[in-house]
Amino acid sequence: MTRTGKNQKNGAVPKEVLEQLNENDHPSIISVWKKSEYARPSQTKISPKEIENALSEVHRRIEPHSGKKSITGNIPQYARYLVAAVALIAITFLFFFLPRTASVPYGEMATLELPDGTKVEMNSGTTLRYNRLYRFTDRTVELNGEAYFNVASHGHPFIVEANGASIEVTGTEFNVRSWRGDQQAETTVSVSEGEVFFYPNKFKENQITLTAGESSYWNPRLIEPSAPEPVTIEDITAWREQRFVFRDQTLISILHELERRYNATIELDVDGVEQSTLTAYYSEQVQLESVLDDICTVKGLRYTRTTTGYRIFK
Amino acid sequence: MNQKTEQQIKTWARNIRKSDRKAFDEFFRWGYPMLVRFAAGYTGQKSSASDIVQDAFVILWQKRSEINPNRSLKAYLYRIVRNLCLNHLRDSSGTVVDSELVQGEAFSSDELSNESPGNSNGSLDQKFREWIHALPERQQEAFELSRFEGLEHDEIADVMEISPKTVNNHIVAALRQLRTFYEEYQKKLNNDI
Repeated sequence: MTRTGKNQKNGAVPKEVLEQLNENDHPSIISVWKKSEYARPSQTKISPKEIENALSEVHRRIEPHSGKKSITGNIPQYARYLVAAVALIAITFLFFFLPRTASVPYGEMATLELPDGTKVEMNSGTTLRYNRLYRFTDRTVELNGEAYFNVASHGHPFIVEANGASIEVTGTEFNVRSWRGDQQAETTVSVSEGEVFFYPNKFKENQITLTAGESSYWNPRLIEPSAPEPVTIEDITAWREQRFVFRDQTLISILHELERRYNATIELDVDGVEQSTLTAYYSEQVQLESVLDDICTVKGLRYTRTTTGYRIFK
Repeated sequence: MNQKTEQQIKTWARNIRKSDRKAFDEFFRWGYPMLVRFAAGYTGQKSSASDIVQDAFVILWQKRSEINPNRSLKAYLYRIVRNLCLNHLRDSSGTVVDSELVQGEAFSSDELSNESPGNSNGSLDQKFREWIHALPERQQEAFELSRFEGLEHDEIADVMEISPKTVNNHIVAALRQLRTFYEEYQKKLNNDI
């Protein structure tokens, strides 16, 4: 690419050219080719600074929602108005179809009231998305994390979509736990009042019905949700009172839950214990360190503080 | 173009298609200077040339989903730039810059002496420039794309939207004509002595 034409391929007469010529012509044509090497018509030079300035200008123009400058040049006036009108309509549509998102930071919990009066208690680190026309067009929310729903009765069925599964109800109370980052990508539904329909989005016909006091789970490796099992709903919803109930829960998922609840990083520096399970109850709010004390005692591990949290080791 | 650059461009093409901004930036930094130089050959002005090349990269990004990873991304971009240049010349034909003036500007002598390493004969370079400029338009374009932009014949075909066979005919004709100019020039030199 450089003017010095270092590489051979760039510097040589293209083979197609020679193929079309008599052998006798080759030397003179090659000579003309070589002599023309520095006869580039334009000698414009570009400094690295100019490249960077041009690049940031291009960035500015390809950034979404900042296309102002790209409408320049010889566009007639009416076309500008047309563009503006189309943009306005598009923005209006976007406004209605862009979902609203509610997120709870690590270390905090929150209660959200949806426009139809449905109350959603959200555990630390949970995200809920719903459309702006919620209540008018449908009552669908998208969940990543854990939340307790108290659904108001209303015309449209209330649907929770959670990592490939859906829970459909008319008016009732239930808990959904579905962490996208968890290894199993499992969605667990537990009902405290009324009944809900639970189905994988890919196999809607495999819908099951859960009634009060029952729980079921589904993950992408299953074609239908697990058979309903009785649960103690207070254990499932212990998080609502900032309590913990771990029942045969894997160490890794417990640590993830602690990280979210206390907004701390917990590194697990021990091989082969992630999937080992643990049972523990905390009937009131506890310090993170006392939970870690217990875990380490049971599993024969130790922990130490790091700048952002804790590190567990053997 | 050597093998490595060719591979690199292919990788860029695949990644830009996947909306990879880093690949886009790298491709921009690599291609911008030579494309501005190329565009300035049409417009005669650096400022309009750099505007055109920026437009071309914006278009490339907007149409990134249409990038065909099996075809030359370089040729694709050259084609956009060439079309924008031709449009620019058409739209600004009322205020067209005197092409002789542009030539004079581009060939200013101090640039020549600085920019011709390994070729002591600066005036021969200038002669060649005049001769290339005197070629029929399409021959000139095909020849320059091959000689100075390092494009393969099938890439030039893409850029100019003609067949590779026609590209070859243009280049062969251009070289024959340049040879004639050069031989006449040599004869004249000898006579002068």
